[in-house]
Amino acid sequence: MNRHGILLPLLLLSLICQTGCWDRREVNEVSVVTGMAIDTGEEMKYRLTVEVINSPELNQQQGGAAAPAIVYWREGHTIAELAQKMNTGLTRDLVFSHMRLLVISLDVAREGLFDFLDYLERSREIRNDFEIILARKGKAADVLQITYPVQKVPSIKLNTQMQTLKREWGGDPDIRLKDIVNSLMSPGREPVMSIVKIRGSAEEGKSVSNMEKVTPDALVFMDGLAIFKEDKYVGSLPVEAIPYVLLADNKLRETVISAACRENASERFTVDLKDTRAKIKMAVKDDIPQIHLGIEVEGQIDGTECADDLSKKKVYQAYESRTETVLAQRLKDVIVLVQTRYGSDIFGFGEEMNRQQHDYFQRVKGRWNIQFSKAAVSVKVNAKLRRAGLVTNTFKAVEQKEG
Amino acid sequence: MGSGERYRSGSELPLTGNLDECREEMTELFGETKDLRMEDLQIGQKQAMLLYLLTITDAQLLTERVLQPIGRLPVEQSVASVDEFEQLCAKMLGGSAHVILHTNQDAVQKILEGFSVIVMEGVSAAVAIFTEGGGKRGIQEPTTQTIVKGPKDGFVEDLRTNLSLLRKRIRNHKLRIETFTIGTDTGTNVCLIYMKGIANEGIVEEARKRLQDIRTNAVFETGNIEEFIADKTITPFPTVYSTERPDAVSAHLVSGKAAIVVDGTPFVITLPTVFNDFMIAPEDYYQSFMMGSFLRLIRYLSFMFALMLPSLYVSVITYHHELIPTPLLISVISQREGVPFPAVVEAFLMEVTFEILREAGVRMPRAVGGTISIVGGLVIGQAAVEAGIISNTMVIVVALTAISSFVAPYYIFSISSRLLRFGLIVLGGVFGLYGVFLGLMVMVGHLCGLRSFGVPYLAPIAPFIMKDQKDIFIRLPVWASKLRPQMLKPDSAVKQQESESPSPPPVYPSERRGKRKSKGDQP
Amino acid sequence: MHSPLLERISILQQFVLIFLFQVGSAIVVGAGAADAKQDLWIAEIVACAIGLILVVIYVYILRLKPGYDLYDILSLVFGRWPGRLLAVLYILYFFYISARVLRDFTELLIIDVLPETPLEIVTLLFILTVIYMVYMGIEVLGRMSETFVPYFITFVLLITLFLIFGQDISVENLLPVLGDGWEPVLKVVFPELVTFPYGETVVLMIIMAHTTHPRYMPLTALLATVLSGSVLSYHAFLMIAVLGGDMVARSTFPLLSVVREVSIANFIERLDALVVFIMMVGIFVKVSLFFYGGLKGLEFLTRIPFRHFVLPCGLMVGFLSIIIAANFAEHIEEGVQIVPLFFHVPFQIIIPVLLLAVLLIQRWRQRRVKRHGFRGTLQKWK
Repeated sequence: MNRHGILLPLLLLSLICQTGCWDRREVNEVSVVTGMAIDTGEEMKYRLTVEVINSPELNQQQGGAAAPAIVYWREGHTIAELAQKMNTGLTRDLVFSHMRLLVISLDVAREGLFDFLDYLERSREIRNDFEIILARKGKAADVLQITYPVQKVPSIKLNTQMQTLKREWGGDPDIRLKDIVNSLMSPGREPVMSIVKIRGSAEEGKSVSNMEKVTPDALVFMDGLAIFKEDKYVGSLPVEAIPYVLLADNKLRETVISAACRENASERFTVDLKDTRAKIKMAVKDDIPQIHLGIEVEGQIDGTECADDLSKKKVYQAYESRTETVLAQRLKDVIVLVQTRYGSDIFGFGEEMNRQQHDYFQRVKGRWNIQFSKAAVSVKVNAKLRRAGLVTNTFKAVEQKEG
Repeated sequence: MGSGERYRSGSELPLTGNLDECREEMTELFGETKDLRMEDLQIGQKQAMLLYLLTITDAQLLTERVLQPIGRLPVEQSVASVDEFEQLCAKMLGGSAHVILHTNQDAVQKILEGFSVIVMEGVSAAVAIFTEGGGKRGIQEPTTQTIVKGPKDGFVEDLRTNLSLLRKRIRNHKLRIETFTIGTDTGTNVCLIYMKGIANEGIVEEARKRLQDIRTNAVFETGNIEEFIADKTITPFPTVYSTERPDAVSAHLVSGKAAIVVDGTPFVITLPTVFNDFMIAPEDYYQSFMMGSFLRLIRYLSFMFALMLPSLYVSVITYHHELIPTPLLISVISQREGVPFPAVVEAFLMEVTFEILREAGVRMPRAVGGTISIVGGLVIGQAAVEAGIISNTMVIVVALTAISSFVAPYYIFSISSRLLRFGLIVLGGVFGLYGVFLGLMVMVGHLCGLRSFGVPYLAPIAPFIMKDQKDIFIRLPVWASKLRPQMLKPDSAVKQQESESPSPPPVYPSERRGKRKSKGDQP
Repeated sequence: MHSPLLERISILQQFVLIFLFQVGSAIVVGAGAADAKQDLWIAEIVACAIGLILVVIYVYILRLKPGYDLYDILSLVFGRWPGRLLAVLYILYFFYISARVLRDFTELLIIDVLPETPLEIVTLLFILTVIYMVYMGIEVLGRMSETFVPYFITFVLLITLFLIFGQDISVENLLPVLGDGWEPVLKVVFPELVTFPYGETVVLMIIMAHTTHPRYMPLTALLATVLSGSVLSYHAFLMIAVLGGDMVARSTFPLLSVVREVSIANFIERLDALVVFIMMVGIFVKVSLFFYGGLKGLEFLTRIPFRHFVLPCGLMVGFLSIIIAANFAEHIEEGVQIVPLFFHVPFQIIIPVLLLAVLLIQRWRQRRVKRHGFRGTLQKWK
């Protein structure tokens, strides 16, 4: 018994070892996919473009003048099928786990072709760590081909760009797979997405020589926020509105706003808002939702054009109240604009309503967007300015006093 | 004890007192051995014979202890009976170790142990005087376990010197030394040492029993004994601790372990042994407890590295690309571009190369040792990478593994990680992390199943013993650990009763006043 | 090692074994999320409270007959042959659940980590390890769990830390609390959540009968159950806070989905492959304990040391786990609809409650007899 007890497993083990290695994929036999772009196909439903890293090119020692990435496209009926078919043009096994970007073309967004999301959610390789964006003009595939001198791989460049923008100015909603799926599922929220556009000539941007110029021939930049209703693209907001959309959703971390020092003055001061919080209170009055936004912001004064003595507490208070008025006004404008023009609850007020007024929301969830466009919105901002940089009084004030 | 059958041939006879007979018998036993001296002596009125082995006898000792006392005897001295002989011996040889013998067998045994034996005409007894000499190495610093701070003496090959090193460290009447003679061909002296009243009696009894049960022909090193007394021999992990350092052995003895000293080797084994013993260097206790604790954690970490690093690398690189951060993955891919082997083969190649290098380094004469490092480091490492056969990362991994395996304070222990590493590489290459983790589970299961003299091998960790945790992963200050290791079930559990953390002495009011006064006086 | 002597585990080992056993596969599968959604954590707390009652019953039975394990008590209470029949049923039940738990894990492994590797191979490898460990005995298994439990707990804490640093946790996902009332919560509590980790503790009646300190055995069992209840509830809380109730409800392996969210500084991310292997510890303990429970039953029936059965039965359990269901949906459907009602409830609740009832009546009778007997002698003495 004892002898067999050891021998048999050993035999089995050696058997397994000799036939094993089913999932083995040597690292130099795979290509890392960093970006995907989905367009509508000409003949079939989709056209999938993948961007694959040319890794030796990115090595510091071996790197040369070759292209940092390779892009290949093919048409097909489902993305799941296409993803496995990419080897019609590419040599190596594709690894999707390091994907950084998914670009969707406007056509796909208009027609609401979000059927491929199920594949993305199901796939074991694809994680929830890439951003989904919309390409406004031309093909989504073009976005994956515009090179950039510093971060050579286009999707990594864009990803970094958006992350930085979000951190510094709150100009990117950072939409991931989970967010899209959640907002498609949830009756109280509609999807949004960042829009990118190519500045310059897309054709010239595709070559390596684009990386050699101080002003690249083509550059991908952020150009607003796409608004969806259900799964269809209905319109967009300018980039300037994005921080306010995020603020209303309590997702804003940091942003910069400028406002006139006094009402109707032409000089402006700029405030860097470091800590922003939104408290959303939901109420219902006569079947109309009442949305109260209590915004708390904290920040520092970045600069002023007015001759105000910033060593005075009163000036701070004046600026604070200006900030409050301006911020409240703009926030309200953005919300009202979305309410009236698109009637799509991109702020997730419905979800908040569900949490606070569960019974009411359960009653109206089928027609929430209509309720949302009817909703009365009130905004109250409480701004606190803490400090004003290295200088107290501005030179202008001194100039005026002495001059 | 085990030595009986060696000269059973008629030598169990009692000594007769007939010198010629004795001489004949010795010649028969030893044959024409060059170094057996049988010298005639005149002790008082009587004829006598002095027997010793020239090769292991110290000439000066022989003169001092045997010849000079005999020379000082009055000429008319005469001995007729055994009693008188014993009295004479006591008078003549008092102060030097001597034993009265009654049989031939004992006489032979003593001669072999380096005693000089005197047989007297007409007396049916003999006396053996300790005159052992011969080649001996002086006490030197241990070469296998070097430390920076702490005692620098190490055991030598000589049993008596080794025992003296221990006795000098533990000046306590409780220290017991029991002697066994093991090896039908070599008749080696083996000592079992323990602290009576501290070491668990059951463990000592078990060790005694196992030593007595050894049936072997030759013992040259503790390693020969280890395999007889270890609980389970089919394991890559050492189940007894052997060391060259007397301070380590003393510390083990005091904590309730037993030690076995074998004549002819500088290594002493202590038992029972648990896994954690191999992570402790004696130096941990000689420097600040913070440093000691830190080093211990480093050792655990490097044991893990030495065991798992190549297999983890292989499995991540061939199965789980997603675990690698993107920039790192890109860099690894670009390095592996053009490497002709799969990662498993690459790892195996490098590991085997390293093992060969290490073995060569150990066995080579010192003078050519430098060549090894040049050939190994330069030719194999750098050239292989530049030729594109091996990737840079693999060299880094193998190097880190190698260095980690050297961290073990106890050289032999790294054998286990060296052996198991290969198994894990195969598992990692075939099943990825799944294989590695299953392998680890089996390994931990095996470790949990091991016992050393009844003490579970992973003792204070599994089974978990809270009281012993003060000296496992971290070492608390000496005053904080008041108990001996409980896992050894020592007969007296308390090590130091009222040890307190040292604190500044209290300042008395009078003193304080005085200070203030003197301060005020100064200006 | 081969002695047929009783193996005893220490109190700490018992604690650790119960904890890993209860958390083991419950943490992987995420049962009950489909109905309870964002109130799953409440459901877990309620389930733990009810589970405690079950554990009290098991422990109380053992205390009434100290030194006897489940099988002994079965035949003591129901008589030799009915007891043996029940023992056979229990053995089959234990082996079957052991196979189910194994399948839970192998499916997880194949879905997330090794998609190309055949199920048979993954299963075989795992069951061989289980066989080795069970062959070494319950003491070794206990010690092994002791070694691994710190890693397990560290992992749970680390994941929390990572999620907090990555700002993935949004507590508002938990709202509204009990938005649809208690009904959906209670629906998942019984039988699903009560039987799934807590009721299964019935198999530990074989091990808990022999501990080094029988006095502390009941307390340990209860504490361990409370701990695993809080870990499970906390884990449900984490899942909901990160994924939201709807996502959790749709997720095959919610914990895995949670870990997939971790992304810190673009460096610590995509940890799910690692986490699978940490979860392996719990699964391992659970499979081994059920397997051991069945083996002990065979030992009880045949009076042959259980080590003789380890290899054949182990391979059988492995085989069973492969043929148990044709696809994953079938496996889950069985686990949610059939197993709790037809297997868990009778074996975990009905039979133990019967046992306890009979034992209590017996004891009551004995006491009465004793009391009367004593009074009788007293009177006689007068």
